[in-house]
Amino acid sequence: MIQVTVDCNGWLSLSGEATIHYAAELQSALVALRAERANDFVLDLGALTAIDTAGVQVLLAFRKSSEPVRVTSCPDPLRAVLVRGGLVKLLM
Amino acid sequence: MAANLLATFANESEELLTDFEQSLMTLESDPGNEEAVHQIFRAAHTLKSGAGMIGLPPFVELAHVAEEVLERVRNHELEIDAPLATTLLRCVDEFRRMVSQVAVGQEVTRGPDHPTLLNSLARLIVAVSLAGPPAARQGPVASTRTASRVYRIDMEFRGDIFITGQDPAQFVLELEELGEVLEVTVDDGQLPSLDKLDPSQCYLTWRVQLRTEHPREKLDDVFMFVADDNNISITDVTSSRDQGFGLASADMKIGELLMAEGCVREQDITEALQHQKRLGEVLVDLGKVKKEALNKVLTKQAVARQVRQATSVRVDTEKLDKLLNLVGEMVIAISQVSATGVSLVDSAAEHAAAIESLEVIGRELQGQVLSTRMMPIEETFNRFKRLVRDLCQDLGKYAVIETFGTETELDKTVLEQLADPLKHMIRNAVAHGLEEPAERLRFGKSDTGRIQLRAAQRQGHILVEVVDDGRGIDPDAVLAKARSRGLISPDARLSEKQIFDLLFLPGFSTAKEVSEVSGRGVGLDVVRKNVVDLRGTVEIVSAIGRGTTFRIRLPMTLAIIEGMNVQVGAQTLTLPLSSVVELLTVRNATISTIEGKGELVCARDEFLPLVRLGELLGVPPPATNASAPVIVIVETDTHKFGLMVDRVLGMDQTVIKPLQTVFSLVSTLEPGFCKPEGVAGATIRGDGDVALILDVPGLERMAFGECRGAL
Repeated sequence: MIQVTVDCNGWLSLSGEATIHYAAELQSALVALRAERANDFVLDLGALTAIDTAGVQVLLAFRKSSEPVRVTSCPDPLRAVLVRGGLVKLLM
Repeated sequence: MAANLLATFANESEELLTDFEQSLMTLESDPGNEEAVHQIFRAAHTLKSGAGMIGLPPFVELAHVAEEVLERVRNHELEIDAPLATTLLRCVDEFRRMVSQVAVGQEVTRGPDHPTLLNSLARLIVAVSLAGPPAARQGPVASTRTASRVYRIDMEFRGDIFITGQDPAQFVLELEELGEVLEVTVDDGQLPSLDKLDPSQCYLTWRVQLRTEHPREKLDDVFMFVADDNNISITDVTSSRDQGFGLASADMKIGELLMAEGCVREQDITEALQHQKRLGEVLVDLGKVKKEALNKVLTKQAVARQVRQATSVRVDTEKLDKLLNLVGEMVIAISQVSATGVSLVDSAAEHAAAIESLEVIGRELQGQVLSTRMMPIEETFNRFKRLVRDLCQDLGKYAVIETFGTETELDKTVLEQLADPLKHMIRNAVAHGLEEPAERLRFGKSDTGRIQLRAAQRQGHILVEVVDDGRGIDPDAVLAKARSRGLISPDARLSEKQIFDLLFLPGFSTAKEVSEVSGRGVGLDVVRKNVVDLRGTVEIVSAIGRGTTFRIRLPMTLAIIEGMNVQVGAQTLTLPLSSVVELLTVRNATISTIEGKGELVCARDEFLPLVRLGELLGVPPPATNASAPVIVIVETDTHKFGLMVDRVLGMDQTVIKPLQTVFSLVSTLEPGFCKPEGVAGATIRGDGDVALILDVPGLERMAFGECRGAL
């Protein structure tokens, strides 16, 4: 599963799996968020347990459509995957 | 691209494709034949390398998957069964189509079959990988490590790749296991905005630079499951990467450089090249030349290229060495003649000896030059194995094809022109000669029919036969049909040979049903015409229930003929000696005239029709009748008749000049002197005179009409 929480400062925390299985959920949560608020976001990936290309694509699209978004605190194992897949440069 | 490189590729490919095709058919009947597997694999590999060298991406991609499949056959992971053989044979056809484009200098395109072939072969590779033991593939190839190379891998996946349970980024991780990933770049240019995004679709593309010591095949293995329907391209960029575009870039095309730099992709180059205009088009655009003029020249060029392709011949170096030796000897002999000529009075005998040796060398030289045109019939025969196989599949019949005397050599021109009539006869044999398998079994035959192609050299002629063991031809049925069509009179009595000859009349067909294969009664007349054009004859021998033989008799070469020179009026004419039976002087001959049948001459108690050659050809009679006329008894396939000439001049070997030359020569003679019908060619005699070479069957048709025997 995937959970998206956001505080009043735009600190956006993701927890669970940002994978193909929950990519649609993640997308609709982010679309709703964008409709509600127009401020800057900091995307905190610290509580994610898994990520794949489908999840990365949603996050990339989110960042593209609502600059500036900063991505922070990605757990090391995930970061390694992103680095090796060449995705980290796009995302962080 | 240098034209000679392309021509060499086209020539060599044809040979390789023939090997490919033959080995495939061998494998189909004998799947355990290792040599055939190796041969076919080598052929595929060489084709791929050749096409790669001259830059033919459509050819290379198909050759590559074919090679991959064949490698699995070689590793015993896959067996060549009928469907696979058919697919690979269709690949051969597609390769041939592309080669023919190369040969005429056209751009090589993918044919309608191309994508299907690519897909079905690629799918087969995947199926084998899923089913087969990987151990087989981790054989010598997998464990071989080579010097390290750098590859650029471009990965563009189909949109729904996620649904197949695969994460594209995983491929980068898999590549990492093969060596050092130097660089990974991901392009998100296609990624839509968040609200437009379909989260189940993949929008990203990857480019990876990998340094590895593993062979290229290992890289392909990584993408084995996805190569089928995703766009994965692997390029060896070692030279550009390691040498930093030093000297290597001097020989590279700008597109290659840009690709190596990562600025553009291969498909971008292909797309851009399609926009590139050719010189002719640019000239038309600039108004320097008219479109029609350009098209005319292009058509001319295409025809010329086709002709050049068809007229080149490969010559054994041994034959060339002999030629060179002979020319050397001739030069010596000529210098001897010149030397003895200076003091002719003293050395008449030496002079004669030198001239004699020159003559001997001349004859040998002629023989050798002719031999360079001779090619074994094997390749022509082999081409028909495929025809028989395909026909049998279409018609639900079984047949084996056997060849005999394949080493028999024929003039290249004869071989080329023989292919069509042979094809027709073989089609006839399979479609109409061979019975259905069930019918064969009922008659106590094997369900598998037998088609034999035989060639042999006999008394200065070449015999080529197409033999089947099918149902045979019923002469009564042929006779009845000929009568019903009014081709012969109801009371005509014909020998079996004459009856079978009726089959060669235009429009005659005995096939009870019209099949796609043999068409509609068109054919055997064309077969005969083609064979006659080659100065040959064709006959049918058949026994009901046992089979039919088509027998073609051809001269050894079209370039030289043993001729008898005769004089008619002021003209010298040459009759092919092979048609001449005997000579009679008019003084000793009995000539009688029969009402409605014209003149007859009695030769050896046989009354034969007599034709006055001068009258037939419209040559004015000689001013003075100094010598007594001579009757030359000639024979064709079916008949003998007498030709009355003014004088027989003698016999010699005559070199036939091509027909085009003949017509230009004929036009210099008296108008209306000769109809091309009775003329086979022309020659220039020792004294410089032009002599027409007569075609006896043609003369027969001129004198008696088309089907004299039947009337």
